[in-house]
Amino acid sequence: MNNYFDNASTSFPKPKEVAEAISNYLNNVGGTYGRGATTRILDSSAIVENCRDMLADQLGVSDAEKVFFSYGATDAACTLLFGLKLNGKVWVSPLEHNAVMRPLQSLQDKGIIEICVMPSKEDGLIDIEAFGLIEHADDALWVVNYQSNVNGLIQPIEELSKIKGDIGLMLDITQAIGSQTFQLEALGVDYAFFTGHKGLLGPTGTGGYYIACPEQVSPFRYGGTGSRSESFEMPDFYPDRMEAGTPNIVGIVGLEAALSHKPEPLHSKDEFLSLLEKLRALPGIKVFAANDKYRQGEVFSITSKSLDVGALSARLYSEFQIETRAGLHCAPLAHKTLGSFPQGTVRFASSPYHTKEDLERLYEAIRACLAQ
Amino acid sequence: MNENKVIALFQNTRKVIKADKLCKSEGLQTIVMPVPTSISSECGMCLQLSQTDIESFEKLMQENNIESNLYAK
Repeated sequence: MNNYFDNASTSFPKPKEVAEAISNYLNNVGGTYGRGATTRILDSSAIVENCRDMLADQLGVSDAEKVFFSYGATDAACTLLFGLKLNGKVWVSPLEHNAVMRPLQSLQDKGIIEICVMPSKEDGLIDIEAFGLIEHADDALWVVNYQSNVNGLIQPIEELSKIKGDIGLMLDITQAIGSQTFQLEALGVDYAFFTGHKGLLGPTGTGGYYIACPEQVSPFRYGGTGSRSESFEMPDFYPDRMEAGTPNIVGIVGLEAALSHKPEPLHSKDEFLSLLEKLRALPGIKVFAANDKYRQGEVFSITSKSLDVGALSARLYSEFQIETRAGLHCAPLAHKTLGSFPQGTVRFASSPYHTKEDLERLYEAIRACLAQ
Repeated sequence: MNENKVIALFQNTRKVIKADKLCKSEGLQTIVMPVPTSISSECGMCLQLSQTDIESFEKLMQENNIESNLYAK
């Protein structure tokens, strides 16, 4: 029985190999990255680079030296947004997260950029036709939350890519990575960032980002890299230029194990979509999800006419031990777009470890809570 | 001076790891070792290989777009 539906916050459980690998590293391997040549250092460095290669595969990136480690999606978003030297209009998707909105707001407060929100349909889907009719001569960047952390909607990146021209396109793929692979290079995506502890099933403190042309982004962190050590300047080659300091080797060891031992989902996408359909049919409930089932990731939200979101989440936990997240989910813009601001929603996010029976039990628990 | 061995220096750790993996997969004997201070002030790692393997090594690196510099040990 798996009652944990807060996987959009952080995933649980992890593959058992994640803890085993971390324990083995801490107890037996040790060693830093690239600062010497002992067996420990070689083994640790090889794991870090193997993890980078595996991430590049997931992203559809042929040159893994354009994939950089970070301490999470927020760290990566700040590296990109503050390192780009933006100037002009920055368009954000209608379901954007504060990992993007807060760094951008700070740039807007300094008069450097102007934040604009892309036009959208009712469920937060970018209205490509309307967006395409807007003048984009002053645009510095388009930022898109690829899969919403509120309603799970997957944005039409192919269509955006077709009309972007020379404008930079940045994707926040935090919620989708792990549940799907990407073809970022083929799609012409310029920047993408993600965390390691959600769909990838790795530990917290891990994540990364991709830059198609790395020289466009200044390093966020300066310091030792184990290379060009005679110089006070950062190296001009990659990944070193973007990765000063000792990486989170403990975390990356765990992430590498998670990537190497990805579990097969215990439920099907159709079973997940069936849960949404059954919930939509309940009285007194509003389901926040994509209108087009082909644009639905495995995250959704609900509100109730009779219970506020905090009370509903608390009742699910106290009576059925079902763990959810209530509120704004650090995505106030998404809730404004969806009409659920400021109260927010109760959010549910599945994982590969949920069975069909877990989803059926969740449905029964929600139904019982709303019927009281 | 060991006339049978050469040292291959790379730009960074990633390239050493990648080169070492490629060499081993092709049956070339390599040893990962600290960069000799007589060659460079780098604090990282380099590869030692036999002079007899130089041709195969250089071909392998070229095929995989990895730059390296060879020094006599």
